[in-house]
Amino acid sequence: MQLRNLSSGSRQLSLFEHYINDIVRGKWFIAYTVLLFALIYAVLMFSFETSQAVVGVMNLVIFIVPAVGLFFTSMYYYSRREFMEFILSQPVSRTFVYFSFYLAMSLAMIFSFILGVSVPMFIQGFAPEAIKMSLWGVLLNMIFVAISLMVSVLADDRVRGLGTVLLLWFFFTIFYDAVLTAVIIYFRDYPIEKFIPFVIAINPVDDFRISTLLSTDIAAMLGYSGAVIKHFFGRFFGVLYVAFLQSLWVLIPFLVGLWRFRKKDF
Amino acid sequence: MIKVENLKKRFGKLQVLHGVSFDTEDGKCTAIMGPNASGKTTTIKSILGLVVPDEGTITVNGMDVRKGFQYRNLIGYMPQIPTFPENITPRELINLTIKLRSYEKNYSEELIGLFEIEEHLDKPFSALSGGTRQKVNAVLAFMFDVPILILDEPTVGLDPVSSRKLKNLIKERKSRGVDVIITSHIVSEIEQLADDMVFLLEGQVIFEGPVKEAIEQTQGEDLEDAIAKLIQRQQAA
Repeated sequence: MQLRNLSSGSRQLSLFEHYINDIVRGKWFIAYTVLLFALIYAVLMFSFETSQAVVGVMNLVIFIVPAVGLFFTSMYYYSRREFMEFILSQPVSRTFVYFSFYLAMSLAMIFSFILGVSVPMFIQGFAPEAIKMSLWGVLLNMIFVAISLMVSVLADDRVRGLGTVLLLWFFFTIFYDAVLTAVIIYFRDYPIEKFIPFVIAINPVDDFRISTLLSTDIAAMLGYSGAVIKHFFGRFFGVLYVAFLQSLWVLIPFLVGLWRFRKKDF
Repeated sequence: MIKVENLKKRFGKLQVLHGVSFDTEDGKCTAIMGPNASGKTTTIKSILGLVVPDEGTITVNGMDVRKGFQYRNLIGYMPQIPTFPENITPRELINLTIKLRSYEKNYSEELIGLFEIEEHLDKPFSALSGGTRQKVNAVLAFMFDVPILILDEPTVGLDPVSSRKLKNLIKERKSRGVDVIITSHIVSEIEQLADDMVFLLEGQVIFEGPVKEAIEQTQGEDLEDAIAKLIQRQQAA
């Protein structure tokens, strides 16, 4: 029995390579990237001002990116659930498998985002905004891949897992805004702005919106919570605060998922 | 050598293993047998670290399976009816497995020739028959010079010629001192291959020892008869 000295890093790289190859040659991945490019390009063709372009792109991004990140990660995880048993029967640690899976999925989604969102913005002459949007887009993708992977690892049943990500998408993109608006109107006579820095922590989609608008300085479109953040922290510290919240949204679901994955029965 | 001691596992309300203990030896083939839902797959998955036991210890060549993953380098595993991703090819899977292992040498070329699957290597798994998938499964388990082989229903889906080739391969590895653990519902196969038997019933070991001893002890005509008597004896007790 001749064994070669193979570092964990080299094994991890091969696993990561396998996952990324598997993801990026999937039909759904190519279709998503092309569709995103076409949609963003179309929106930008009808945008004559920077603020119009940024808001138009952002409104599409906050609907599409969380949905695709949540559903594709979950569907891919469940479709590879049994193959995961084969991978885990090899001499690799569970942490490595989880990390390779997360990294490959996140990078694939980020790659789609850059090609589908940033490139058309560059082409249409919105280069500075494209760079800022890309930076926040990286975090947005990493957040929703982490949330989806956590849900998929926690829910053994595919239907329950996909149902949960659907509910989360509804909450983050639709219910949250409706509830927040209702709360603001109902409590308009109270100093509720004090609670806004905590309230926005609940929704990573809102964090993306505020960070994008604060960093591109399109104050008119900030909305109530964004305006309060700017008023409380100023523009620079407001962006930092929201970036911190987004980092937590990556880290917490990632670690909860990892904790469960390490103890899970396959 | 694998040593399983007092293994207990519960899935929700169902206690699947009630303190399973047995040993396997190098150069011998141990059959893990039992009716459906007796705990065979859970036991095998516990050895491989896929299932985390509630209680008990498992050591593989002296290494505690809960304290690391390197021990899996010593094991060739052939899962029962494996589900490989439909869009990848056997060649990609073989190459991935080689990269995940630490062996200088592998016997994939010889095994691909033996099972005559050269023409299928670059087709996606979705285009392969159940039998061909099982042959790829065998190549993946046997392609390294491992001291332990765990084979879960290895001949399921194989044609008689390939099944014979696989059995010869198992015998050859056993003669080279490999510790082979096998599960199968085909009693004749166990009679041909296994030296020892661990018989599980409702998550408990009701017999552990040489296959011949099981027949002698129960005064059975053959292994099938011995198994039937073992189950009856346990149910009467």
